[in-house]
Amino acid sequence: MARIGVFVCWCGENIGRTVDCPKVAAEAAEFPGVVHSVDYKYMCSDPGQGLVKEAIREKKLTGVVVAACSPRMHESTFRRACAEAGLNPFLCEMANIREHCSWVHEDRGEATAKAVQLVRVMVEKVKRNEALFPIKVPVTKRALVIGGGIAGIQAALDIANGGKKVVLVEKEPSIGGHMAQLSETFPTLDCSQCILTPRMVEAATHPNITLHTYAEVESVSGFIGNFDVKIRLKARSVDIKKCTGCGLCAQKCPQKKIPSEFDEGLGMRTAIYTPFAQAVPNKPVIDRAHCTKFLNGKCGICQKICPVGAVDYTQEDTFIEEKVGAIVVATGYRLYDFRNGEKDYGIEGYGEYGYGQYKDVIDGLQFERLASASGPTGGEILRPSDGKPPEKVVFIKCVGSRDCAKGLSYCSKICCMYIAKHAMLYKHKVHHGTAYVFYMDIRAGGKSYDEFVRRAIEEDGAVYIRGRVSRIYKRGGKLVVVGADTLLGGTGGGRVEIEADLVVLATAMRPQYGIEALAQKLSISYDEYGFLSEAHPKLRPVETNTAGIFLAGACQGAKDIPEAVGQASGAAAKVLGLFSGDELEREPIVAHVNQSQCVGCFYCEQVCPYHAIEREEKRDKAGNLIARVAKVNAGLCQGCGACVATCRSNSIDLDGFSAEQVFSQIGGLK
Amino acid sequence: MIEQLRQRARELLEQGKVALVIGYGQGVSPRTTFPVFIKKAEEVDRLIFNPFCRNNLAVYLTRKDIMPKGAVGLVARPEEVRSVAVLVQEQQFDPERVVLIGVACAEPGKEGAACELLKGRTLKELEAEAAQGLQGRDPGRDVAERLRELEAMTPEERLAFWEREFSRCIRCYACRQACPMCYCESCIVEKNQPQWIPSSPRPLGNYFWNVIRAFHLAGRCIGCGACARACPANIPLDLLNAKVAREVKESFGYEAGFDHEVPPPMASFRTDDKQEFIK
Amino acid sequence: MAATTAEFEPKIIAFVCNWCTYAGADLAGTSRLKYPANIRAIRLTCTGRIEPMFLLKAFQEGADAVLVSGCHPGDCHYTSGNYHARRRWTIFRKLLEFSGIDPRRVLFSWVSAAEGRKWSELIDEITAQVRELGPFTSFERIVKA
Repeated sequence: MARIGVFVCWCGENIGRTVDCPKVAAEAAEFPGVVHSVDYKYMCSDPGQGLVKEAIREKKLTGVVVAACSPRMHESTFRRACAEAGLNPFLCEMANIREHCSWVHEDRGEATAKAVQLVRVMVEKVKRNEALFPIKVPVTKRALVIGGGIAGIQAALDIANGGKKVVLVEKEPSIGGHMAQLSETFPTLDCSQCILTPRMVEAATHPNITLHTYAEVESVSGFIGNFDVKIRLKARSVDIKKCTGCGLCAQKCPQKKIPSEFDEGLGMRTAIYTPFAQAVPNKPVIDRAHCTKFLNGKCGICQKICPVGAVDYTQEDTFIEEKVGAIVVATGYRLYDFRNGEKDYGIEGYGEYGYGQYKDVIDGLQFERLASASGPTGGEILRPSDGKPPEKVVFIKCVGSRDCAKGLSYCSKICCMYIAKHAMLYKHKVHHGTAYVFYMDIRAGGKSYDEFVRRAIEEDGAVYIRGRVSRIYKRGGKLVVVGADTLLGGTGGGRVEIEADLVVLATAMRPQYGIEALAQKLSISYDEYGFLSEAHPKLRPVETNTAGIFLAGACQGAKDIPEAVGQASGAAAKVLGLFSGDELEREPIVAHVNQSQCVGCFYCEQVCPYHAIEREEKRDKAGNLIARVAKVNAGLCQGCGACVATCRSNSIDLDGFSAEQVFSQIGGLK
Repeated sequence: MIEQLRQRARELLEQGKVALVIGYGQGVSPRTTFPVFIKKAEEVDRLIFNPFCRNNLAVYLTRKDIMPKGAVGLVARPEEVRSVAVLVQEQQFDPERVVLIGVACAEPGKEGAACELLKGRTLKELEAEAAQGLQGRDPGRDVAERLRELEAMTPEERLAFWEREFSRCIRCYACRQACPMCYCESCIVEKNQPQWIPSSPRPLGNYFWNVIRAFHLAGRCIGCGACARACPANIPLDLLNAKVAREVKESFGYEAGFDHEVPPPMASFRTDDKQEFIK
Repeated sequence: MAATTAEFEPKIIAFVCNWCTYAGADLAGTSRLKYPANIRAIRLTCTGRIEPMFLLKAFQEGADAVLVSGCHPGDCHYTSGNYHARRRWTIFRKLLEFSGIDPRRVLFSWVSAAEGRKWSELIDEITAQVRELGPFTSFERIVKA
């Protein structure tokens, strides 16, 4: 006979204010099978949990229903408490009378009546629960890090230094990411490359790190501790083992006018190229879309000139498979395409800022390249149109960010700081010039950040104008920036006009192209902007909702270098924690086949996203095949239940969410 | 035509290519036929084929008590061909296990209508022939007409209609017995832990049973009408099935039994499947 | 009609996915968005787990409407459960309509974990709609017969 205990929580006033908890407890006491029913102010507190434990022992409960908050909140808390009192944790269920009841309904009578029903539903369910035992699965102590920017490098190094193997995959020919493009970094103005490149080299030479550049994740299957990853190694057209990185090929390549991605189109590169001088690995690739050899079969100079015979035009994409136990996603960001807008996302562009038509309207990363010693101008601030130093530079913040009307509603977070830095760098290099900054707010929360912005204004004389720019147009050789200074009153409405030589737009940070496809390969979720979703915004910021997959850096949301690095180390710590034992325990919510009833149509096999359905042959004593039936590989099964609902003969059921349990829940709503 | 049919069956049995031929035999009256199971070449003269051969013989292919160890020959109208295609698609047997003797009748049920032996030998060829001919493809004109009548009613009227029709259901499961797709060894209607469908012939259980059976045939029913003909209470089960088949065709562009190599529609999806009904 | 619409409180049973809609409903709670108390949500792993028979059982137990809700296409926690569910409901809904169950009583939605507001507005809307339709007395007649 079932002996169910019901524990109704007030959650202080959160539930108690709207739901008559003593009444719920009193009514629940009358439900068939309930032998104990109480209410208490804070059931999740130590004395509250004590009530549950005590009742399990004294009343010999066979099941527990805690009527409180969402199971997503405290199911694990109460299941642990039950286990401590000797009751199998899966014999404990929660009735959600807070999020689904007291917080959303106003009428005390209605809310109380609903709470009573919600408790009855779970009492009916728990009567049919069975003791379940965690499934132990082995762990492959090897991690995959996707993305070789600063976050990916940091995560890879931390895991590798923790003694575990790492596979680091980067889609570009070199690791380094956006940080390699930056000039100097706020708030200390240390040179970005100087602090990054040693890390790049360390990652590439670390005995525990296998680096695949110019590579992409093709597919991922499996589950925590046991992922199978297929990686596409894109054809470099250069044998990386033979190549010594001498650079002769690039010097001799006749195609010299290809806009350099690394220089954000402000510099040129060749068709066979390394993205930048400090690239890791320092081995070139051939950009087949621009290579004469690939375009019309003529040329072949690089192959002829290569002293070690490393150039190979016949190379094809190859695939390798890696087994890993954990995955860190660190795919980073890109800047919002202010020239074209992003129609796919329903976001307009900023035509009024001159689209791509004015050469001297550039974005933040382009300014970084102008200010960088490794950039196309050798670090001199020269405007793209005529190569002259600009006398007046206008910086516009929040282009695409914080613009619900035509851009993105979120704040890109880094722009306030890097614009202050840009203004400063500009003044350091063009002493007589003036930097104007149009801003909405100055958001400089961070260690030494506000001081930094103030320095730009007070010491370097950047002119900060609080307002938006409505339009940029050309007059003579100048760009006329028309905006408003909302701190100025008067009849003009604070209209300002600045004749600028260069305009820098702080465009919004966006997740990388293709992030949705990658997220789908990984079965992780993303928000409406494409940023990857963490498991909990406060308490599980580096985990995803898919066990064993972690996030680092700007793929999860706009963040600056220190934050990205911090999160990467956090993700690495999670990975190392996961790798600390030889086995890990999984929730035992898996499907089972009743093989005596299975007729082997294998619809289940076709709907299973995890390839967890296997075929088993049934033979008679003489060895003749009688039937082929389905079998669930509990190690692969993730417990979604798609097979269960697809099975016509109802030969499959799901632990914890069985047909019998669901039917009884529905019956509880009578 | 009948001689050719018998000749094919004789060859198959004599050459040992099949251990059994399933076909039609003559009933007591000229208009009745019944299934025959022929194991010896000398018995092939019992085989006939005429417009009154209406049972779906594919139903026997999943019967363990009937199927021999070796291959079986099956006299197959387009209905049987399509049924076999679905059964192969659902892994019930390898296509080599069933040797098809394709036959067709121009106007089933009509005295003297022309019958022929089909050209195709393989399942693939016969699927193509079945797809070409209208035979066994569209529900009859009267089915289409009755569908229209029902669709014109209000939901309340339809519920009353089916309530009336299902009220005659005595839960004999003749529909299930006649249907090649109802090959489950344990039907959900027999499940009692929990009980899915009330088993006594009362309105609720009858409604659940007939609706769920129709759903289980989604993307699988080939519209042979065997269920409706088998029903002693004359419940128009073919209407339910025809409705589901049409929805499957309209929503997923799929018709059952014309290609055993594609995934079944209810075990596959397209990311751009229509979803106007979802808020 | 057994009751006038003024005193009729519809009973709506929802079958929801743990990862999206259930969490979205949690968010509605956390955000203190108010909606009518007529909805009773049963939490399941995925819309892919939800069987047609659950809906029929809900009607058997006196539901005036049922709601199935899960993750938006592309967002399924298990990659593809919602796609299979979508096919299932495309057909089952039409079958129910054909066999006499008003499609306005058989409802489907995608509500993500971030869409607390959508959940509360949806419940507002469907509760009003079912209130308008009145109690499902014709099915009750079959249940009780």
